Amino acid sequence: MTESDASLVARVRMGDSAAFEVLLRRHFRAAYLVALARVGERADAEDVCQEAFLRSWESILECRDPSRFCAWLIRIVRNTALNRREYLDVRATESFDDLMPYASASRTDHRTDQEELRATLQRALAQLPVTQREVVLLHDLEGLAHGEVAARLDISVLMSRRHLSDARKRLRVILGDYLTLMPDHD
Amino acid sequence: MTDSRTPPQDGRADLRALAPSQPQADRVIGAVMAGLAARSQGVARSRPDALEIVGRSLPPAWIAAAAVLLTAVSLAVLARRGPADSTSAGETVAMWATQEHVPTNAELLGAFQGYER
Repeated sequence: MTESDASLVARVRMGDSAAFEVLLRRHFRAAYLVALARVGERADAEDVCQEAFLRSWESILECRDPSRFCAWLIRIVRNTALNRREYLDVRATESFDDLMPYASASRTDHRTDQEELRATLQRALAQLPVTQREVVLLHDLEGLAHGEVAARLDISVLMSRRHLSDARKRLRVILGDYLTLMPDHD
Repeated sequence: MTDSRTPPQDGRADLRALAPSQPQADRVIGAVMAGLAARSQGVARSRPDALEIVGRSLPPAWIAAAAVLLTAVSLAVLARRGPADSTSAGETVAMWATQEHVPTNAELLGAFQGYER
């Protein structure tokens, strides 16, 4: 039988790092997708998750409702991603990549189809408002129901539905037939 | 899993390429757990107890004097509350303090005539 989040949080509060690892593995995908929705790049999303997970360990006593650990963790991920986004925006203005388009182009030459598909999706998602990105990733990719998405993102179920509908429409416009032409990526 | 060659039935885009892989999860969670382990070891190494800190920073004579003074003050406070015959115990302790003498358990018991005082 799967141990509940509340029980695992209680063990974490006693200093049980193995219980913490179980919690992280259980909620990694949702946390990662929210981070990705906020920062856009896989490597940055990983960094955000790593930092947020360490923060959650340090402040586990502040998790008021252990049965809703995932929502609490996602909140930390979103705040961490926000800080990261601000840092990246500042760094982007100083980046040599902006001044040297050839460097970026040469990197894309060696991309595999899978990487190209991923980059296309990331560019498309970047054109959506951030909450729409989070909702569409959690619902359509992670497979969460609207109630679960709403609980994790602190929005209403109605807003979750609305964001999803808007996000899908926008993605269809942006991506067009692109996805149907891409090779299977399983 | 849906085939990405066919248009999604319910209007959703196929976003599976963005899903995190198992190696990604292992890498991130592994780094976090390693960080926690290193941190707990570092804390254990770098956290001396209070006595160790005092012992490092003060010469032994000062420590003995401080211990005696602390005892003297404590006992003087207790002696005020106690019966009249405890004055002699206070004097004894004051004498120890001026001599920087660290009393043994037996001396303390003798001076205060047991645990009750």
